[in-house]
Parts: sequence; structure tokens; C-alpha cells
Amino acid sequence: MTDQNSALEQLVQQRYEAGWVTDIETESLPPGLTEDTVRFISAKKGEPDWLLAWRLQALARWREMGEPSWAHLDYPPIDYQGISYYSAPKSPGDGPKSLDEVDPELLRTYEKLGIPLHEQQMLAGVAVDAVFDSVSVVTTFKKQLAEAGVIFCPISEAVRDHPELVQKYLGTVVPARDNFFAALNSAVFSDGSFVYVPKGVRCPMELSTYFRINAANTGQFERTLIVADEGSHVSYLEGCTAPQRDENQLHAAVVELVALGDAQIKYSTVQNWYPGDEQGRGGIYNFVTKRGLCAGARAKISWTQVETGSAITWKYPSVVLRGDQSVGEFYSVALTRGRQQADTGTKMIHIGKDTKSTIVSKGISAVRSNNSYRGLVRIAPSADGARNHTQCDSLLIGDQCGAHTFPYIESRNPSAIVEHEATTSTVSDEQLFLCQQRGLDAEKAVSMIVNGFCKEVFRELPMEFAVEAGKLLEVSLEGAVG
Amino acid sequence: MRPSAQLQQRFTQAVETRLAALNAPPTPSVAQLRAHGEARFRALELPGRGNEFWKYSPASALMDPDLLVAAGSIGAPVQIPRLPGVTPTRLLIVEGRLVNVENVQPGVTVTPNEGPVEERDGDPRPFVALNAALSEGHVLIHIAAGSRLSAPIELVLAQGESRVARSAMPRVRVVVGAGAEVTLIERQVGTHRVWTNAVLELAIEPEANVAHHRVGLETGQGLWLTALDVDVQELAHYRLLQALAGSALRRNEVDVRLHGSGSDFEMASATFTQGGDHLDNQVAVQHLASDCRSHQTHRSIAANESRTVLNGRIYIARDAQRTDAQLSTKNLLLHKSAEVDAKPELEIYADNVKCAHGATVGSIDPEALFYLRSRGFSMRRARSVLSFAFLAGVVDAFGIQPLGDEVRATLEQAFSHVETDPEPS
Amino acid sequence: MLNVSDLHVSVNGKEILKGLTLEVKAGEVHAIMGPNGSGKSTLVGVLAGRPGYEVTAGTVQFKGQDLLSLETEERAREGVFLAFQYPVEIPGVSNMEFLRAAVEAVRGHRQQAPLSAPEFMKLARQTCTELDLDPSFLKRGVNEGFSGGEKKRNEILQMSLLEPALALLDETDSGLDIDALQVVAQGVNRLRSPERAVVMVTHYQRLLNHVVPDQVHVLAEGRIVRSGGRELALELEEKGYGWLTGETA
Repeated sequence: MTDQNSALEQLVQQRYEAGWVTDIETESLPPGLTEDTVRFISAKKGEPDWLLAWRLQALARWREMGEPSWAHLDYPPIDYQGISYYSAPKSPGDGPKSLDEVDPELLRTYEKLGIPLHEQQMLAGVAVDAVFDSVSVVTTFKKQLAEAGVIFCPISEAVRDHPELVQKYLGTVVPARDNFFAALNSAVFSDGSFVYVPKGVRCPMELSTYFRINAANTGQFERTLIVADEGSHVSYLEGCTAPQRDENQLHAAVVELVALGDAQIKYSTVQNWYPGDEQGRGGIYNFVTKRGLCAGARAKISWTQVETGSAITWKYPSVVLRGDQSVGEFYSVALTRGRQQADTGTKMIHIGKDTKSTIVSKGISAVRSNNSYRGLVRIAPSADGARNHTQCDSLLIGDQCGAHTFPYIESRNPSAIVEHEATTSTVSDEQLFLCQQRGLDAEKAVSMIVNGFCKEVFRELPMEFAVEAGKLLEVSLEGAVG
Repeated sequence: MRPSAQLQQRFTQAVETRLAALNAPPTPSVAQLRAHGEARFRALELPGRGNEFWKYSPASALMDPDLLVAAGSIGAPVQIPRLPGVTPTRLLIVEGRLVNVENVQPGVTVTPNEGPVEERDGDPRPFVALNAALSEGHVLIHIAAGSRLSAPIELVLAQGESRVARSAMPRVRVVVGAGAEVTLIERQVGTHRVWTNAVLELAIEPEANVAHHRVGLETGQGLWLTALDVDVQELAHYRLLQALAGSALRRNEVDVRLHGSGSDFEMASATFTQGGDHLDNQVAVQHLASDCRSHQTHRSIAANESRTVLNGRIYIARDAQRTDAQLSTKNLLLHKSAEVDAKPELEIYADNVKCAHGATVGSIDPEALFYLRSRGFSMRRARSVLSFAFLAGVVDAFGIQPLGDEVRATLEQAFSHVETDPEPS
Repeated sequence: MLNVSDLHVSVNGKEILKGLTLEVKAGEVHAIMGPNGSGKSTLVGVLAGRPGYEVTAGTVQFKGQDLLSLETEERAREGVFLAFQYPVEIPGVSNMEFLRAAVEAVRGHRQQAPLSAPEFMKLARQTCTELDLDPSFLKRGVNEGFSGGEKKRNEILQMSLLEPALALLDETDSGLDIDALQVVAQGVNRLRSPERAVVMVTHYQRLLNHVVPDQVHVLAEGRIVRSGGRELALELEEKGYGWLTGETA
């Protein structure tokens, strides 16, 4: 290995900055998953019977299912009975009504994360729902949103206060039987966010949820449901972190988006779960099902993700384009380093006429990681005039990593046009040398090249997130240069 | 349809029955091949639901116990075309048995049922194992090092005329000595309901040069499963040029391994399916050494009620630095009842490489169609001309003029009958 | 020869031609000018049978028959020729093969004797020479890798070989240098005869210096707003279109 190469390796050494543990009193279930676990969670939330029945059915389904094995991932078997399915900060019975009731330790946690929960600090005007382990701890800006008619609350609260909306849409995009992890989530989900934007309303601010897994041996199973009624617009941001622990932790979330006619949903994620150490010890197993339905004509759903964390990422934010002329987008940057493994991509299912989808995926593999793009573009016979364009690029940094591309194209309509392109490149010694010869240090050079590589995706992020994402990549790639 | 557990079980039973009824092996080499295949077949799992390798093709179509019932007489060979003006070394293999060898050129040795039967370790394909287990014989073709053959070697895999459903297990190994130059023609001939479960192995020694032309343009009830395993050594060059029509099932599993530095693989494939045909190209290229190149061009047309599949996997091993690997697949979908499935894959473990793939699925360009019609071409003719033009680049790459002409004529004939959507899209 | 009466045409539900009337007699050359988006290309496209247009009202008579009821290729065989603004590339079909098939289709329809292969080759080569095209370009794919000028000359080559009754030229002059423009003009002038008519859509009057029109029409917002002789084109060049389009606003 050349000196240049080892310099490169050092460049991409990880430094995880969100890895501390919050010392807080929690109420947790002992590990194990039975019908009683599900009944306990449901009772804890004071859920109606239909939801308990739905959960139990999901559990029954899950027990019949096998863990999927098709992904380009290698990890030891997960002991699903060794996980605690419920952990919540001990707080007054009904949860905090305002920030004053929130455990100060928790607030300090969020401050450390740079997530502003105090409304007076909210210059950016972003409404935040924070989910700590399994429970939503606080939602900000509720009043202002209520004035616009927007509902933004923990899903447990929505079940209580807006049961008709939850019952109408829950599981319609990702059915409980959809896949192994979705079934598991359906049985044991403990909280998450719910958003409803009424007809014709443009949500007055960005909505945001921050997820944090804190307790040891805990799985996190949040469930998010966003419904944008006809002609409405909403932009939603999601961020995730977890403490540094030697054992692996499971995160199996479900996100469902429903966009009715002429509605638009933009969903952005910056995922920075703990990725494990350089030997591959610890880290989050991130098995997430995210799917949006363009239910009506001219609906639009756009997924943007920046994935830098997790030991294992298994995630395919998808769009079902049912409405005529509906639009689906997927913009992704996935960076893996250390021993991280990511198998991520999207599915665009074209059903309606003149539907359009765009996929831009940028995978960066460094050190000993493996980074796979897996994407499906399916054109149904009904999808006259459908269009898809996919651009899928991989960047390899170092000679011990892997970059993989697995696109699936299934077309059944002659008037549809599907185009897929994939390329692979590297940060070469020559490029580095050139930059250095022109006076840039290696760190700056790599960061510049990577940023240029990701530009198309960063452009899609809301501004507050774009800054964060850029910083995150820089931190991830930062290190001592020899 | 994905095979159910029940179907798997019935098929396994039929295999056992057939194994018990096999004729005595003609040579110890065949006995060894059978024993090896039988052991491996028993150890391997048959494709079932959720099998990624058979995602887009019905393995169940092959797992019909009737196909394994030993047929009596298979009848005379079906009619086999001959190329005008070419006198190849010609091997006629009818349903697995070598029945005729013509015009053996100096430097070429043809040995039936003898010689080493080397297996690639850990081949996961049960049907490849089945080919060995049920073998009635195999053929070894050896081309001496340094030979420059003046005429092609033509390998005809043909069916017999009998209409009884059955299966055949042809197996051919071609060893091309160092520095030799060979043109190979492979034909798949026959339209009856016969499962031809073929295994072709090509060992290409250093600096050898092989141009392999594969033609299978007959549609019908034939079930053609062909495993083509190619090992390419240093500085050797392998070209695979194919023109294929669909059949009840035609599936090519091409596995090219570039073992030697500086070796080169080129592939150009033209395919056409219609009227219930199914065609599946599974192409895997493994770059196992540095400085190799692989370039693939796939052009496929799927007309009414047919399905065309391409899985094009490019694997770049850690040591395969300075690889140049490209794959382009373009597909024309002519009818709503047709389907195109494309799965180009890249699996890359080396950083200093140039790899790309591109895939498109669409229909005939409406503007080109209008252009031709505005010059007086009928809709049908315009579509036929544009369809043929789409494949022309591949056919033009054929190195043997009369073979290219034959393919051109067959395709043009086929396109003039294609059923199209009433409305141009 | 051509009688367009109160023609209304929509594309994707948007009306582009809004009651256009035009009469072209045998032997005449008409120039249609107008600002971008006025509907010039739509007019020649709808006459040639380009898909995607919806005729909502009006009639088109060509040599006494209802042109709009004919398929695209039937119009071509009846003698309607459209020189494309953006000629299509068709890789895999040689130019020679293409020209021969087109000429055969059209001559067959007119019950003219088919040309033998050598006759056709000779004719094609000769026409190439006249249009200053290298004969090697007959062997290349249709328009494949041709320069802009070559593509336009290839259109004129096809026109010369097909001998249409009505030639429609869609901005054939745009993007041409002066030499190429003269080649195109010569091609059109050679075609002029008492039995044929030509409709040239153009944005600039420069082509009209070389092919002198009998009539010039100004198309704006889907209608012909002014017709006149050669001098109208010069006036347009001087004043632009504003003074005319203003009239209809």
C-alpha cells in the first residue's frame, strides 16, 4: 500500500460525535417478545381494541415470516428474544405538556445534539418532535401549527385524539404483512410522529423529528404516518443518533406517506446512528421500511436521504405512483466507512398514466465497508407514458472496500421510457497529488471531491439540513493527515 | 410461477427414477461424471420461491417430471441449416449424443466420452449437476496451441424429430491451446418440447483468441437451458456474438472468468421474443486479475405476449485493478402484453477501475416512425425496419458473412410478422 | 392543389392554430413567416400527418381529396413531402436502403415502373453530386452522425428523388451557412414546375433571396394576419413582427 493510500485511510477514519449515554431513569420491559409484550405496549398507550387486534395480527404474521436474506449484507443472527421492546423515560403519567415538564437531563441531551427544543431559540422556524428511545418526549410549535390546521403530534397521541385519521391510513401504504421488519414494527411500535395537513394548506414551517436510542439492549420501533390532503404541501425532516455501545442495537422503523391529489410531501433524512467501531463492534442495525403513496393525480413525493451512520443499513424509501401524472423522487447519499454495510436504494412503482420518477444515488465506500445500491423501477401495463431516469454513481476510497449496484428494471408498457445509468469512480492518487501540488491539503481535497460528487443530492435538502449534511460528511471523512 | 415445495419433491423423485434407469456408462469417464453430478445434485437445493437467480424465469417449466421419463427413439435429427461457402469442422450432437463429426482440421482433436471432467468447485446450480448426473456422454474438443484454424468449428445442438416430451444433457468442453485462433459456431436447433440442459465449457489458454457465434433463432416448444462456463487466461481474447429468439424457455447462463491479466471479453447480443416466448440471458463476468477488459452490448426486442430478461453481473475482485468493464443494454418493448426485465449489476471490490452500465427500456421512437411514414413507409414496414435497425449493429459484428446474412434474413422475416399495438405509441 | 380552410388545431388541449385559411395553387411557391410559437411548424406538421395534433375544426383539401382522412404514409405517396426541421437519426438503416424503400413505396403508389438497382444507384449518386454531398454518405446510417448542414441536404436529396407534388419545408434554411443555403435553394428551384407547389416555413427572409416566393404569409397567434408578395418579407425584415402581431392583439 502506498503512503497516499494510508493517508486516504486515515482521512476516512471515523469519529462519532454523538456517542454519549444519557443517564436518565427509564422504565423498560425485560427482553423478549410474546403476545403479552404487545398487549403491554398497547395498554401502556391506552390504545383502542382495533389497534391491539391489528398489532396481534402483525405479530402472528411476523412469526410465520423469515428474515430477508437477499441483501448484500453479512451480520450474525439477531436474537429477537434478547431485545427489550419498550423503554421510556420515567415521567409524569401523560407525558410532558410543555418543556418545563421535560426531564432537564433529556433537554441537555438534545442540546448536545444541537437540536433546539426551546421555542425561543427556534429562529429557523422548524417544529420538532423528539423521540427518545421509544417515546415521543416533546413536540414544539404545536399551537402555531394548529392555527394552520396542521396536526403534528406523537402517533400515540394521534391514536387518542384523531382515531378516524389514524385508522383510515395506518398500514395502507406499508401493510403489516409487507415484510419481516415491517411486521415486527407493526406489532411493537411504541411511538413516532403523525402529521396531517388539511386540504389546500401549505404547512407554514418545516416539520422535524429527532430520534435517539439511549437505553441499552433496546430496540427502537417508531412509526411515522404523514398524510397530505388534496393540494397541500409539507416538508419533513428526520434526524437520528444513538450512543456508542459495544453491542448491536436494532432499529426497525416504518414510515408511511400518503399524498392525495395535487399534494406534495418532501421527506428528508439525515441518518447518523452509531456505526460501530473500526473493528465492527457495536452499532445500530437499521432495518427500515419507508414508502409513500401518490394516491391522487399530480401528487408528488420526494425522498432525500443522507446516510452516514448505522452498522447495517437496509432501507429502500419507495414511491407508489398510483395517481396519473404523479411524481416520485429519490435523492440519496450513502457514506460507509469502517466495517459499515449499507444496502439501500428505492422502489418506484409506476401505475398511473404519465407518471414520472427520478432516482439519483451517490454511494461512497471507504476503508473496509460495503455500500450497495438496490433499486426497483416497475412499470405496470396501465402506466402509459411513464418515465424514469436513474443515475447511480459509486465512489471508492481505498482498496479494501466494496461498491455495488443492483438495479431491477421491470417494464410492461411500451409507451414508457426507462433509463438507468451507473458509473464507478475513485479518488485517485493522481487527483490527490494534483490538489496537493496546487497547494490543497489531502483532507480538503477529498472533502472537495466528495462534496462535488454529492452536489446533486445536497441541492435537494432543505437549507438547515444541507449545512448539517455537509458538516456530517466532513466529520466522517476528517482525520489526521500524515 | 415459482416452484412449490411439492413440485420440487415430485421432480426430485423423477430424477431418482431416471437415475435408477440409466444405461450403463459407455466409459469410466462418463461413470465418474455421473457419480460426481449425482452427489452434487443431491447436495444442492432446487430453485424455489424467492430464488433470486430464477426471479424472472419459471424454473417450474423445467421441473416437469414428464420431461425426465426416458424417451424411446428420439427419431432422426431435425433439419439443420448449412452455411453456404463455409466448410467447418462440424460436430452434430443430437440430444446429448455425438452422432457425426465432419471435416476435422489439422490441430483439432475431437474425443468423445474421454478425458478429464473438471468441475468448477462449488457451482451452486442444481441443473448443471443434473447434466452430469444424467450424462449419456460428453465431448472434448482440443485445439492445439498456436493453431490458426482456416475454417470455423461448428457445434450443432439438435433435437430429434420425435414429439415425445423428454430431456437431453449435452456436455462439451473446448480447450483452446495457447496462442490458437478459433472461430466457433454454436447452433441450438429444434422446436419440439425437449428440455436441452446443456453445459459448455471453454478453457482459453494464454494469448488464444476465440470468436464464439451462438445462433438460436427457432421459436417453439423447446426448453433450452445452457450453462456456458468460460475461463480466460492471460492476454487471451474471447468474443461471444449471439442472435437468439425466444422459445417456450430459452435461458443462457454465461459465466466468464477473466483469470489472467490483460485478458479481454467482448459480447454482443441480439434477441427477439414474441408470442408467448421467454428468453433469459444471465451473464456474469468475473474480473479476477488486473488490466482486463469486458465490454457487453445487449439489444433486445420484446413483442406481443413475450418476456425478455437480462441479468448482467459484473464482478471485480480486489486484485483486479485497472479493470475496464462496461455493459449496455437497450430494450424495445413493442406491446402491452410483453415484459422486459433488466438487472445489470456491479459488484466492485477494487478501487482503480472504470466500470459503468447503462440500461434503457422504451419503444420505437415515434419521431423516427413518423419520419419513415412521411417518406411513404407503411406503419408495419416502418416498425419492422426500425426494429431490425435496432439489432443491426450486433448482427453486423458477426465475423462470418454467411452466418450474418442468415441471421439478418431470419430476423427480417420474423419482424415482418410481428404483431404490434394498433396505435403507435 | 392545397386548400386549407378555417383550420383549428390543438396540441395537448392547447389551441395552436385558430382558424387558418390558405390556398396554394399548382406552380406556386409560398413562404410562411412569423415569430416563434406562432404555429408555423404545427401547420406543416398537421399537413404531413405528424401524430399528436388534434384537428378540432376546419378542412384541408389536397388535389381534391380530404387530406386529413389519409394516413401519414398515404399522404407521402400522394405527393406530400415534409422536409424536417430536425431530421431524425436512424442508426442501423443505411441511407441508400432507406431512400430506395421510400422511392419504391412512392413510385409503386403512382404506378410508375420500379427503378432497377443500378438505375437507382446512378440516380442517387447523381443527385448527391448535384447537392454537393459525398456519395459515401449513402452508405452511412440515415442521418447518423451527419452535420446539421448534411442533414438538411439529405432532406433535399430525398425531396429530389421523391418528386413530390407539394413540398413542405420546415425551417430548412435555419442553421445553414451560405453555401449550404444555396444548395438547398437550388434543390427547391429545380423542383419548381407548373405541376408542383412549395410551402416554405422560415424565420428569416434570407432564403427568399434565393427562392423567390409568389406569396408571403405572416402567421401570428395561429392565424394568417397578412399576405402579400415578395416585398412583405423585406418589410418584415426591416420592421420585425411587432407591428403585425400588435394588430391582432
